[in-house]
Amino acid sequence: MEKGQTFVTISKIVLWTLFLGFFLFFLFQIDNIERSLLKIRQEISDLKRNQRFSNVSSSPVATQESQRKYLHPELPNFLEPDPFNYVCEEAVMKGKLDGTLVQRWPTDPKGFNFIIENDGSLRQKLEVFCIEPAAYDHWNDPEKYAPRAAERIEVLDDYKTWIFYFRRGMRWHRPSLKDWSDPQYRWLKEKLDKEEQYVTAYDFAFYLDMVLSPQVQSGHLKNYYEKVKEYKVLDDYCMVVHWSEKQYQSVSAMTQMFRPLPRFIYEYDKEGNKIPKENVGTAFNTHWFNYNVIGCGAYQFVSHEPGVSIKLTRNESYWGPKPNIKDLVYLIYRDSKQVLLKMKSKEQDLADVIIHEYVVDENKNPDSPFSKGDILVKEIPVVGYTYIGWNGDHPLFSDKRVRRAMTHALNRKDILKNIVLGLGILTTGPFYPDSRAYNKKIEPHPFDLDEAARLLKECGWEDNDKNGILEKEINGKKINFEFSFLVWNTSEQWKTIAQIYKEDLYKIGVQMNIRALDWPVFQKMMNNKEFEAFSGYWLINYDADPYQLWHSTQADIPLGSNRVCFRNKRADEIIEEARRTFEGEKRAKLFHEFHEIMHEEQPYTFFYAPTDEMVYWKYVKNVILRKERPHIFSLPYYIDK
Amino acid sequence: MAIYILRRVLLMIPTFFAISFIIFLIVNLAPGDPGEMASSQGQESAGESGSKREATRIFKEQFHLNKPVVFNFRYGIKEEEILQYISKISKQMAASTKELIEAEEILENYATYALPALASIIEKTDNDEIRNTAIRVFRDNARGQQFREYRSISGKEARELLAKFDQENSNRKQENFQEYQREALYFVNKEIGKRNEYVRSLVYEKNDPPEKKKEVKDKILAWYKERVSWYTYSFWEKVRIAFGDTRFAHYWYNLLHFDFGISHVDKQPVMAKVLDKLRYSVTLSLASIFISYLIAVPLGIFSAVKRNTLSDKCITIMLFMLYSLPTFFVGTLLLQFFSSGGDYWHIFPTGGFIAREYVDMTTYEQLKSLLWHICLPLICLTYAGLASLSRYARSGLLDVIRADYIKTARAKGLPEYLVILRHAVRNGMIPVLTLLASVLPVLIGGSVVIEFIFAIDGMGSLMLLSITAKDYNTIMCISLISAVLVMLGILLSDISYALVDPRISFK
Repeated sequence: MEKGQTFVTISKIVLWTLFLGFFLFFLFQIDNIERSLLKIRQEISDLKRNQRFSNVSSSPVATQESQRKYLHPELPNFLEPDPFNYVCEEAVMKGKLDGTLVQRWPTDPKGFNFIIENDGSLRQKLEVFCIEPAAYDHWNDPEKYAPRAAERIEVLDDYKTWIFYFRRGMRWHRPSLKDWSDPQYRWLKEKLDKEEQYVTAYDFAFYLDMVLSPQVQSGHLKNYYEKVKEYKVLDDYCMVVHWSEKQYQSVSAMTQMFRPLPRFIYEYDKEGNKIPKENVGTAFNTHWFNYNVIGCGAYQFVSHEPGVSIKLTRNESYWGPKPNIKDLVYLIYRDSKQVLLKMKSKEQDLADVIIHEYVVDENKNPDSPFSKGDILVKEIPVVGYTYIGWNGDHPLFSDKRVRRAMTHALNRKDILKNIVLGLGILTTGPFYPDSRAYNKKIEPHPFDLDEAARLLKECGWEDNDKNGILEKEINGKKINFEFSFLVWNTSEQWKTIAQIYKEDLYKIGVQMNIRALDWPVFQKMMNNKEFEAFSGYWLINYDADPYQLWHSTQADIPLGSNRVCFRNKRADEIIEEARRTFEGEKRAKLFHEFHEIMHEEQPYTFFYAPTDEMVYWKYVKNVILRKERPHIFSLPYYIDK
Repeated sequence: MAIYILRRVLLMIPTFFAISFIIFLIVNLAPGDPGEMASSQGQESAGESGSKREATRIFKEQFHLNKPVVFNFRYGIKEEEILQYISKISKQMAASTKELIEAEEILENYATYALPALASIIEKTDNDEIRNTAIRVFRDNARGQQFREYRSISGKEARELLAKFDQENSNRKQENFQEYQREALYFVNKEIGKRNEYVRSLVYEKNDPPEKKKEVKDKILAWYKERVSWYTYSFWEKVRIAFGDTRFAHYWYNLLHFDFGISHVDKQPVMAKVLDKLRYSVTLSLASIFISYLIAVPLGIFSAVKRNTLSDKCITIMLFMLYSLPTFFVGTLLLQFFSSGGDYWHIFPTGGFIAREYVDMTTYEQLKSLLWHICLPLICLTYAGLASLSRYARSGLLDVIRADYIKTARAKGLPEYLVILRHAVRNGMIPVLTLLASVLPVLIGGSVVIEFIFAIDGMGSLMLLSITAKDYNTIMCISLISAVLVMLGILLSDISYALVDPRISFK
């Protein structure tokens, strides 16, 4: 090779290297510039927010507080302050009033309009933080209510008239639209820049308007408010609601479910035109703002990236004590098997449910953060119960002795210990074992096959043809004691339990066939009453109203929840009386009697109140559970990394 | 060539119609109803399942789910049929719970078509129970539908109202059409709302005196007689109803306006939703196609050159072993071994498409985060496709390697690598290239399994969710887009043959 050629090659290489170097340098510079721009953006938005808070104290309405007059000053306030203070002293002392808590949200929410959407995650993970209800139940006592958006509630007229005095100076959060620069939202921006929007009694009245409007798809709320006769706004911060009947349901409907709805957004269409009154209901179902949340609570909605995450941040201008944690983040993913991975990689700090087998496996592995004590496991008692329902209208199970025999044949204690692995509490009735309504004197029917066989014999079931299966003559026809038991096909646990039950029943001459079904098919069969027995799981409230599940009228209406066709005159009386009784002691007494009837009649074989397991990293401190759902309520928690 | 393409494109239109019809039939006739998704199976909340009927009715109206699928002959419902349902509901005729639920649902779906029969039942019947039920059903069914958009305004009553509005505001139509439309919509809804309120107020309680009951009955009949022209139809109107007032007709009417409807689940426009998810799936599939070509084609060439040697056999066996590994298994293993939540090497994140704080990142960091996140899913998407692609490349090359011009090239004295790369590969790769066109629908399809395992919210998971929720509009939209892409892909691959290979022409 000649000298000249070598020189050319070398200079080519040098030139290329230089060029590449410049290019990389250029890229690096651009990256730096972008980073500084991002920083500036961050600072500007912080500045803007601080500016917003600086005039909180000078708000004109706050000063009027002392001059407030009540219509009935002689009446006691229905609300009592909650003795539990969620701001953790330890966190304040350590100066840990910051940090992010990352949790899971199972599937993308269909929308954030809490009147239309009936979604447990939405209710328990977002609504409770963002939208301030009129009142909220006490942390440790679900039967008492603490003031939130309402400072005072006067109840008169035998619980038929409720007068609300709302807190003054509660602002609506500034909505976080994805793109504020979009010209079509200019009207909203101008409106918000011009004046702050406060939560008023009109917003609460608007909530009732929407819930009760026949055009609005608010099925899950409507039946709570069916008996509202009329409501009237007296002034900006005072309103009155009249009920046509005395009804215990009205307590929760008028406290924790009673939330304000921003009129200044929902009465306008996307371009800022006011929607006529008659059209608001129709427009509400598909309103442009349904994919956004605007509230007035302790946390403010920041963003929702479909399929990625939902973010909330602390509302610094909140009227009450500010929670310890600054940001709440929910990762959206559907695969529940990912929970373990995300927890171990610290992408997630707290998981509300985890498959028990994973915890067991991890504890066996000495290198796992579970066995090292870095990830903690806590049991959450769920207010609910699992059961086996018997079709009371079916000739096999119309006799209560037969149903009791079925309960005797289910080995509840051993199943709970070995199959459910102890994650549950045995129940004997339709209430939560820890609640006041639950009659603790009732002993569960023991597992006793001889007693079961005796009861069946007493009812005329005998094995005359010696084929191992009992039979009886009903309406002139010989019937074998054979039935199908419906379980839903994704529950391995119920399938196992059904197998054990099947074997035990076979010993006393009862043939049970297990049918594992898809949930929609399962539901349809229950609605059509085309079943003999099924497995079920009810989530209830601490203070349950048995009407929907147990009143005899609910057995006869199509799609009613009394699917087992339970009809008992005394039980109906108790249910109706309890609906009109507001005093805790009296209610408990009534429910204890109701519980006894249930124990005697056994329309369900009550099984157990399940326990979930939550896991969290040990740097999440002060993890305490609320008694009523949502059990995981992160206001007192703090992060100490 | 141009004429050929034009003919093919024109042929696509009837094909598209047929495809949409068949998919529509399958989707709509599949058992089950759209509605709420069963989020947690077997778990039910007490206190929430109460008065859902009303909500279901509005929901059905909104999406035309109360209409028949293809033909609508409801203008001629027999009175006996209605009477039968009414007597079942009012317990004058024995019926099981299932029949009761069915009867309620059928009456609800008949909507205004049942009014003439109901009115005559109310007038004729002596049975109190039957009359009570008939009045209740009449009240529910007489309720006029309010509309979401100006375009969707339909029905005799609404059109009459619209004509009235037009007459009153005839001079304004030209000024600002959008505003005019909005006001017209509000006007129609308002009027319908008013009269709905009136119909709803015609109630009596069970214990009311007979005079009150009679009064309500008379009012209802009077109301009906005043509007009898709305609910009786001429021949041409019947024809119009039979073909026009059906789910399919409404769907196609919207489709002609390039409106794919809104999703049943979250009530957002379907098209926007699909476009939103598309970026995830397209990124993944484009990258995986690129990588698999990058790996498979050289492997194929290598195998062809060294055909039937040990290395060729080794490559073949390797690739087919990969091909036979199921992706869900490999995906889980990869996560367990290489992700930061696993037990061994904490290299990659546990899932997702990009870090969740990406808004606060610079472009370069975003790119890095993106690549980091999609590494594992890409491996899963790529490895299975390698086998078939490399086989195509191998056989394509083998076809040409024996050709005369290759011999000529060798005879010319060119080195072997130049013979292969310059002469053989160029011609041998034509089939592989044309394969690219057929990949088009795969681009948007996404992969259900991989998206599920790696928590990526792409088209695959959208399709899966829509199917479980029976979200007809989304299913239709995705299927129709794939149908169009398949047709386009076939056309493109035909054209590309002609372009690359001069021996093929469409004259």
